[in-house]
Amino acid sequence: MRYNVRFKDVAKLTDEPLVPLKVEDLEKLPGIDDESPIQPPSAKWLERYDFSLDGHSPFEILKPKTQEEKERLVFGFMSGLEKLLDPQSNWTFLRILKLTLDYCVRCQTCSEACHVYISSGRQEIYRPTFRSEILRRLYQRYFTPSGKLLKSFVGADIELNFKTVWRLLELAYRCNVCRRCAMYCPIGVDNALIAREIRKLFSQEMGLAPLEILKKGTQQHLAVGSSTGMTPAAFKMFVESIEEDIEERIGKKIKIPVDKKGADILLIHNAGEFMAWPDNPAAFAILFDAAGINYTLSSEPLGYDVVGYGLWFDDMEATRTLLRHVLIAKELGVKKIVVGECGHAHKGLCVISDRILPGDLALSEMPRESCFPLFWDIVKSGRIKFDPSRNNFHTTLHDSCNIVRLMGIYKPQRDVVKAVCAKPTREMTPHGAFNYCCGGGSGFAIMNTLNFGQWRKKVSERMKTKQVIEAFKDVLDPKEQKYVIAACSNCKGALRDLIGHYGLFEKYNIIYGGLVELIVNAMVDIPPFLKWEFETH
Amino acid sequence: MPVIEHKGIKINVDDDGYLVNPKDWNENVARALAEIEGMGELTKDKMDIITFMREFFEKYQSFPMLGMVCKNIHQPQKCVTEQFIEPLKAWKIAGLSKPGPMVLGYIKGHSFIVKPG
Repeated sequence: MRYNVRFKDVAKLTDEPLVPLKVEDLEKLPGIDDESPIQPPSAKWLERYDFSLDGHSPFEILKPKTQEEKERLVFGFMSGLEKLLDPQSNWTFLRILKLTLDYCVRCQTCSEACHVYISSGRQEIYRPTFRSEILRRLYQRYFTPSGKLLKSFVGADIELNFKTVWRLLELAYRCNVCRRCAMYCPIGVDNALIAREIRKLFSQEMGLAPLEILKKGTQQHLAVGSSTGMTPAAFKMFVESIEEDIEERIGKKIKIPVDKKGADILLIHNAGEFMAWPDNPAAFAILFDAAGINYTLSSEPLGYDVVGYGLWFDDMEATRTLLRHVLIAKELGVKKIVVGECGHAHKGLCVISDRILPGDLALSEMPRESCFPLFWDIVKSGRIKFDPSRNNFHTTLHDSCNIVRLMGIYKPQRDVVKAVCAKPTREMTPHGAFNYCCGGGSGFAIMNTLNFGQWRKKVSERMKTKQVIEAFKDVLDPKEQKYVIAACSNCKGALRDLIGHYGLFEKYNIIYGGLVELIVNAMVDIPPFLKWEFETH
Repeated sequence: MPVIEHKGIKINVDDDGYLVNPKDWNENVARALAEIEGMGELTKDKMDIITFMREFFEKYQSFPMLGMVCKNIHQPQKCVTEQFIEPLKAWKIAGLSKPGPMVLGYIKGHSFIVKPG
């Protein structure tokens, strides 16, 4: 069923969820008849933490008990909201934020574009406009003369209490910030940005952000060198280990250059690749060596981890990591930075840094590039011989929102797949700029506190699950091998999660992986590289 | 902090069962933790994995790459998942504190391999 939630319900002082999600309410999944039910939070959790939005939460933060604690939350929010809309303290994305607040006509075109809203069985609270409208009404009521005086007559009817603030915080973390809504908006309003700016308000004003992306995310990234906790010494060990592994597999010793001054390219991977998918950096090394690319990795703290989680929730944190990446590239004297298979790092380094790093710290003098066009340059150059029959399985191409919708890089990866795979790739419906998010975007792929992982599997990853099954619908027989190309660490995390949760490997023999692994698998001069396996929970 | 008692050994662990102070660790503690985790007896192969993880952490303060663990102790490439099913169990029995969420997120999916069909 669809729960009838009105805007002012977010102020309800009860612990009952506004939307108690049940599997029967969600969008139906084809090919999955035995879906597990949604487990409600345990009694112990309910007593300690707030699940009053939809029975889920990524925050292991005790519910406020005293009046003082509740007031601190409300006053912190008020103070943050005032700063958010003041050009003196917030200039980065203020214009588009203001335009969105002022000009959205509530036509709901964006709702039908949102995978979270559709997958949830069209629950009101997940409309891209729902959280924006709450923010808009609160602003009107408490910061404009007409709102203060006339309240509900001008639509400023939402009570501000600690529950409103908490539910708004939760709502900001029910959006993947994939910005599909912004693309469909007939007047260019960006409701995803509002979700991101609400997160920013909470993080910059109160230090309130999920553990995974702030304390153990950006803060660990800046303190240790990588958000995985990988130290520079460990990184060097991993590189050596990958070199040995490559030698065993292809019978040739390849040197992976580290800290090579004056190289043409600084290649930065998402450090999660080394931990979870070491074949990805290994494949990069094999390909770049064979193509004679003059590149280097960096062992400087942050120089070996391209992630920048601040992008999802905090301008300060985003700037700190981007700044380090710029300085490392300048110190090495490289000609350009190439971003490995990581979607949000594409956005951070290639797009957002131009907007928020001013003057001589700007990256504008340091060209940055996605790895995709470089892959295509290598493949089409003819330097390396490929045998597409090595990749003789079905593929579908998942488009990372940040790389395809945001940056418009659409064709190179398709040209590459055409050149190195035996069968034409099966396009998802829709794809390209119109694709749906994997469901792991904006930090969700690594957020597992309390029962948030359940929400991700059931709601935000649902649309991608459906698309993957539908792309292979006529070859679902497990005798047919199927590979989802997901050239982005976050997307790979989400695909592993959904393939594991919905049993797509056991049932249908579907695996996932990056793009560079397929290119290297097709290289004639070395033995096949790909391992057909899936590791599950 | 919960204190668990197993065959006369008292162990301080956090809410998720990770050792609070890695210095409390010795082989008897490891055996007790292994039994609590349902791993049964700690064979030499298992113990080698654990020892390597401890040494690696001492040197590099980081979670290791799984393939690298096996290579260094001359075991098959998937040794950690073959021996422990979940690599994090090995980490726990090695008495190391709970890894960060990014490692948990990325490593958690690493487990036993199933066959399709």
